[in-house]
Amino acid sequence: MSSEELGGLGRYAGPATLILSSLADGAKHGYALTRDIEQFAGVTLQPGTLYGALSRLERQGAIEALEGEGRRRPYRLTTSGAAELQQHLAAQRRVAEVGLERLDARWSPA
Amino acid sequence: MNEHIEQPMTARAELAAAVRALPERMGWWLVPASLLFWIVLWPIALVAAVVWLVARSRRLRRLQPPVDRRIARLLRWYPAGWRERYGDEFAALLRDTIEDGRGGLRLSLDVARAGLVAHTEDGGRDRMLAGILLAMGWISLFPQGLVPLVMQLTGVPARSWYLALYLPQPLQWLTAVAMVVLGLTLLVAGLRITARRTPARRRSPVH
Repeated sequence: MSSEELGGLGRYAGPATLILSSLADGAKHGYALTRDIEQFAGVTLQPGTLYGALSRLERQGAIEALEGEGRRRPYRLTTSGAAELQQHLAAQRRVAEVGLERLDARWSPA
Repeated sequence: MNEHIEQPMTARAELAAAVRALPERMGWWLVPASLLFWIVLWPIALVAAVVWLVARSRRLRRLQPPVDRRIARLLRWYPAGWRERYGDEFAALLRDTIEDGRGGLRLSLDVARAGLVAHTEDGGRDRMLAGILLAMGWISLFPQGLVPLVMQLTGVPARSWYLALYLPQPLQWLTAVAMVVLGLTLLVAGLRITARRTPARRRSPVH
């Protein structure tokens, strides 16, 4: 499997995980979020999808809006959002580790 | 045969007599004033209104750049409450995306889909249910309930689309009354959902 194909797996990560992961290193507004997610996951979140997820995460209290820079409004991770992301990514890591171990054991090239 | 020929003649004569009698009954100025209004003033006003509206929309189109028009169109997919909260920042993101050359059909489809989803999250399901209940209630109460009842009472023969009037005589009253009861029940249920939603809508997110 080439590195490009592996990068494609990023599209299966939900927009919420991508947004929370992007905000983990600091507050960002919509367009900065889109560009950052493109860089680390290789996924382009369209504006409708991005704001659908942002509004849900805000309702759930996982992120909060800051004072706007002009018309752009940055969002930041809340403490509970950070805890949820930590929990979710730890579970994902366990899944990834088990999957990789099993792949190594039975599907590694001879 | 004679009756058939005379009837329209009589009606025409009656109409002519009524028109001749108008100046005496309503004042001599009524006929020229009516003619002036309907033949001159009213068409002028109508044409002027259409010309003004077209000129105004052209002026607005010239004032508003195409990107702004597209953003305004895209924002219309969202419910008013959502636009009030996120409209400005979402418009800024749309502008950045379009100016970055990523404003293709995919963007429009994504915004349309997300806008419709936002409607269902913004109490849209309740609103849709209330709308269906109110519409069905109105149809049951008036056209299928009260109107056939009145037609039964006055003996008007037309059956049109009134379900009750297609049934055997004893069932006609029963069906019309049942439609009135059903209509009232649906209307009350629809109004209760609307009333329950109203205070919740006033709560806007605090930021």
